[in-house]
Amino acid sequence: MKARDNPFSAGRTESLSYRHNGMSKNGLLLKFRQLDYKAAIIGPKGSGKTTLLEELKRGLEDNGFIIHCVFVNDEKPLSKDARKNLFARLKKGDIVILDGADLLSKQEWRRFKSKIVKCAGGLLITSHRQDLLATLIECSTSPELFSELASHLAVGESHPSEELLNKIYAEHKGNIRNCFRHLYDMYADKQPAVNK
Amino acid sequence: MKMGSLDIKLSDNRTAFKPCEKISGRAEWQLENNPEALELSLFWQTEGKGTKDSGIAETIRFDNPGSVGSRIFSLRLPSGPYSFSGKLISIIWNLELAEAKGKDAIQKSIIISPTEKEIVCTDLISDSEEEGHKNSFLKFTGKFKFSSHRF
Repeated sequence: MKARDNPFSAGRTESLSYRHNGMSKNGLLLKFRQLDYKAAIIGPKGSGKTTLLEELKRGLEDNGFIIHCVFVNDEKPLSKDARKNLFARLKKGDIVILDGADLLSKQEWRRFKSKIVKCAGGLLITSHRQDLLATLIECSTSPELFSELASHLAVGESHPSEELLNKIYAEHKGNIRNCFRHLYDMYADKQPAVNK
Repeated sequence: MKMGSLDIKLSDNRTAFKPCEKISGRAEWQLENNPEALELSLFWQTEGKGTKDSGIAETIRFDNPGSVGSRIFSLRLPSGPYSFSGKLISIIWNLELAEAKGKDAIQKSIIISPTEKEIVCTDLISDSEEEGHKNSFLKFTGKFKFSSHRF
């Protein structure tokens, strides 16, 4: 199968919206305000933290906030220059969004947080750990969620069976991003096992 | 044309071209607002297993276009990369007509290839060979300006 036709391509999986289980987007924005605009989205890898972060970012922008985004991952740590550029642009009342806060060292995090609190108004982060900021929400996944998302993406294609989806979900320990990559490879090879 | 719509019409309704070919067409719009400018962009994007990349090859700006109108355009296509699909990555060329400061946009996919057909390598090469093609492509695209893009 061509990459462009694969129902589990990154472009398609990244366009999925966050599935709220409990609090709605507006409820989360209200809670973020109640937490004085300093809060963390917590959860394991592949649980939808970044997807939710993007959704809240749009919600905050719609409410008139100026947002500055910083994305940190294992391959792309927060550089001195990027930090300097960010700090130079900050104004009171702005909100900084930091995806991957737990990848900063303790010292880096302390400096970053204190600078943002001093120069901007808010800080919304994602983290695997709970000890950085007050928790806004804890993201989690379930086999049912994975099944719903996979069925949504595979519209018009042969659907993987529930049994197979449960097996993939367990193999990747609930990391839905990795589950999608697994399905991508299966569809790329057009393995007949998809329907078994 | 419906209100609130944008359209790109290519000469002779062609959608496949050779590298470096000159292409022409007409950009049309019928909008509810009066935009400051419209932009017609030629850009590539990747689709596949990895993170999406994109880059703009050329942009034509139509200042003060009015809420209803059309403009004829022409532009020279780049020499590459060619439209390509493997199992791991597809390279897709698009023309996009968009409001410079707005959310309205329309995209039209085109093929750029010496044969005027997308180069397909899903069965011909192994994953490692395709990975090699992908790396060559990424080096090649270093010639273009990378930028974030609306999708």
